[in-house]
Amino acid sequence: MVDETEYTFDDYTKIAKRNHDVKPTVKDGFAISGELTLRVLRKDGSVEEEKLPNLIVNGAFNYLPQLLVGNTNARINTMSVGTGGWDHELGVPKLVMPSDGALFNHYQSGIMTYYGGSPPEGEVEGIQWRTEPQRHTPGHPEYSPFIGIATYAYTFDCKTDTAHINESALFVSDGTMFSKRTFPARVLSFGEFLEIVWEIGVTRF
Amino acid sequence: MHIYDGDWMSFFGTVVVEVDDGTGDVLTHTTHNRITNSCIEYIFKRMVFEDVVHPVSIRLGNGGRGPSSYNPKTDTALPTPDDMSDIYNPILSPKPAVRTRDGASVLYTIVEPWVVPYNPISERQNVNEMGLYFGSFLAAHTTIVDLNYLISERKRHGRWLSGTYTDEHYVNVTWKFTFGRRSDQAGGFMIGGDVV
Repeated sequence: MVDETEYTFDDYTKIAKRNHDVKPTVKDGFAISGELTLRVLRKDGSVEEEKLPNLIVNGAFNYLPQLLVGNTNARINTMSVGTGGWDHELGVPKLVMPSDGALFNHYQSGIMTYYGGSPPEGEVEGIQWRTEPQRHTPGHPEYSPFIGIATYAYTFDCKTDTAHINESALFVSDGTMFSKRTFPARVLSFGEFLEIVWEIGVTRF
Repeated sequence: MHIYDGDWMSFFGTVVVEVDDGTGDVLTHTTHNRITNSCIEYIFKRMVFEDVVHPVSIRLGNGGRGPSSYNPKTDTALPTPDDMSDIYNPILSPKPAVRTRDGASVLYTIVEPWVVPYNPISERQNVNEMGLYFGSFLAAHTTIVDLNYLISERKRHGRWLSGTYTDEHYVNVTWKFTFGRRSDQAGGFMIGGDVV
């Protein structure tokens, strides 16, 4: 007797799996996350440091497919800081939205250079990267959750009497914002510096 | 550096296999894949310094299961992140694929189908694994239930009693990387604001 059921290909996959208990292929993929370290370098030599996670904004979701298809070779090379990241009404940092494409109030930008490895001695600014897939193995004594990390560093100076820096962002060379963060203001006086080290890590999920 | 419970930019791979039995009756099978570590490294390098965009190809193989059994106890053929050079047992030449962008997705589609003979007895030409290659390295790997097995199941259930089918099958493959926001707060993988 002919079975008149309209089976689909996936139905047959289920039949085969039921009959033979075939393991399904793992569903996993690629993932990017980032964090920035803020270092305020005071005139008296003291250093104030804090690490914060960032938000990777929608611009990055346009940029990376372009990079994969080969439509662009643009790179993340610009870091910016601003003074508009504080919500004075609520008394908290403004919410960063995935749709953000610019700082709330731009103060200063810096272009970073890729040195092809470590920067020249004494140079803290620039772009470095490292991959360590061996350490990304469960059970490794120095396990790293990331397969690779790119580090972007820039030092901003205070060009005015005081500056209330409370937002920062990374940009691709074509002007696309990649990631952003707001935070309580770092108040700089003339002659003081804000060093930002931004790490972008890639891994699987 | 730590992993935060928050938002991640992510993509995962989906493989769509279409088998035409020669009558135009196309069966579609969708599965997922393993992205290799070398693929993740390559994309990362593209972000930082690599200008070279490798040509893309897709290859079929029959090493996706144990050599003579479907017994999961002897099945050592699950793709792993370290599958970087080749799929387990390629049986047909790679087909070049074209890269296209569809919104937040990247599609790799072979330009012409494989012609795969149907052979219900021999496993020699079974197709049960596929690989996506960037240049010479394996970027993504998937294993599936043997196409011939599925076809024979289909025959057994009487779909092809008309005798119009041929012994050759035309296999098309589209590999898709879908970008989205993996949000622990939203409870899943988000594309365009929707959790999928």
